[in-house]
Order: sequence, then C-alpha cells, then structure tokens
Amino acid sequence: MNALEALAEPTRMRILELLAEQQRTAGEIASHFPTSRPGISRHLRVLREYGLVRAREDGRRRLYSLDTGPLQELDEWLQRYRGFWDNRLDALDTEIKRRRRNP
Amino acid sequence: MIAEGTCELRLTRYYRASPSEVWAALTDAASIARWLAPVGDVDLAPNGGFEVRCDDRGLLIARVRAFEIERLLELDWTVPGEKPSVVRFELRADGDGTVLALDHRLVGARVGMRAMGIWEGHLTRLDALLGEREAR
Repeated sequence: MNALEALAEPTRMRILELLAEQQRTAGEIASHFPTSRPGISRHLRVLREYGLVRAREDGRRRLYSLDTGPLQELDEWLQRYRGFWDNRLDALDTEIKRRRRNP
Repeated sequence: MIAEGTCELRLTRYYRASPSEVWAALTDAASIARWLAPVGDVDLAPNGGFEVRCDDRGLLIARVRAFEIERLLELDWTVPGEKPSVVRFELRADGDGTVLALDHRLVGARVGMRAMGIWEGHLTRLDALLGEREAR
C-alpha cells in the first residue's frame, strides 16, 4: 500500500488536510509550517509520486490539490471484502448447524 | 468498520454453538470447502496453510501465521492481483454461544483514520459539486 505509507508522516498528513480545504500553492502550504520551503516541496513531490496530490499550472502559479483516487481504491477493497465475509460468515453458521445434524 | 491506525475490516458474529463446534467448522477441511470455497489439503500448523479456488479471484493462498486451538486463527491472505493482507479469526465463549471476531487488514496500511476522514469529506464535496453540475 504505497499511497498509505506515504500518508504515514505528520507533515504530509497536515499538507493533505490543508489541501482538503482548498487547492493551494507550495508557498501557501509552506507558510503553515516551520519547515523550509524546499522541505515542503520534497513532501509535495512524494505525495504526487504516490498519486495523492496533483498539480496544475494556473498562469504563473502552480496549484496543488488532492487526488482522491488512491483511497477510493482502498474503499473499494473494504466494500468488496465486507460483502465477501458477510456471505462467508453466514455460510459458516449453516456449516455449524450441518455438523451438528451430521456429527 | 475501520480500526484506528490501520486499514482494517472487522466483523463480529454470534453463533449458537460452543467455541469447539465453531472451531471445528472453521478449520476442518471438508467444512472449509463448504463455507469458504473448494479447498485442497489443509494444514493448520505453523507455516502450514491451504489453497482455495475462489470463484472470480483465482487461487487464494492462506498461510498460517498463528493459531491457538478453539481461540485464534491468523492467516496471511494472498490473492493474485491484490495487496497482501492478514485475516484473523478470534473465538470467545459468550453464554451458550460463541462470538467470532473477524479482522481483515491490509499489510502496511497503517494510517490514521484522519486520512480516511480527509478523503471522505473531500469525496462528499466532490459528489456535491458533480451533482450541482448535473442539475444545471
């Protein structure tokens, strides 16, 4: 789960929270941290590599925003297995009863 | 439901049967074939495991990480094309029956629920925006 590992870092998590509010430039993001601007740029690069953040040019500015794709994938995984295990645990109940009838 | 700090699915069920009955159904090869999926040899020793053919998913490999008779079974869960995950069954006697807790978690998916919260809010806003656009 690469995207998730990328998330497990406090500065990057905070950057994502800022971007969840609205799209921002790197400078705006950096103003929320004591970390140096190059440090923030590095974090942004990691977040982009993992597909969590996108950048687009807006005139002379570069605007960063969240990319929701990776966690949608995660949500799909959860939904899929919830249905799978629901069915299987019902089947286990049937099996327990069957074993009792046919010891 | 997702536990704090991990990407994890948790389901609990109550069965009107003793832990030993539930354990037998959970771990007997013939039983597994009926409640989970067709299965080959089942070896529930450390490093043992089993392979099951799961309808659309191809060959699933379950390898034993830990087990305690009538109490705990933890499996490495490997499905082609999926991220590795761990499935854990825990049994606990409860009155005349047994509570089974199933945890299925993605390996390496250790993130705060904060992250999911961010995305959830964002996706909701996105839905709202798309809805507005369609309504126009």
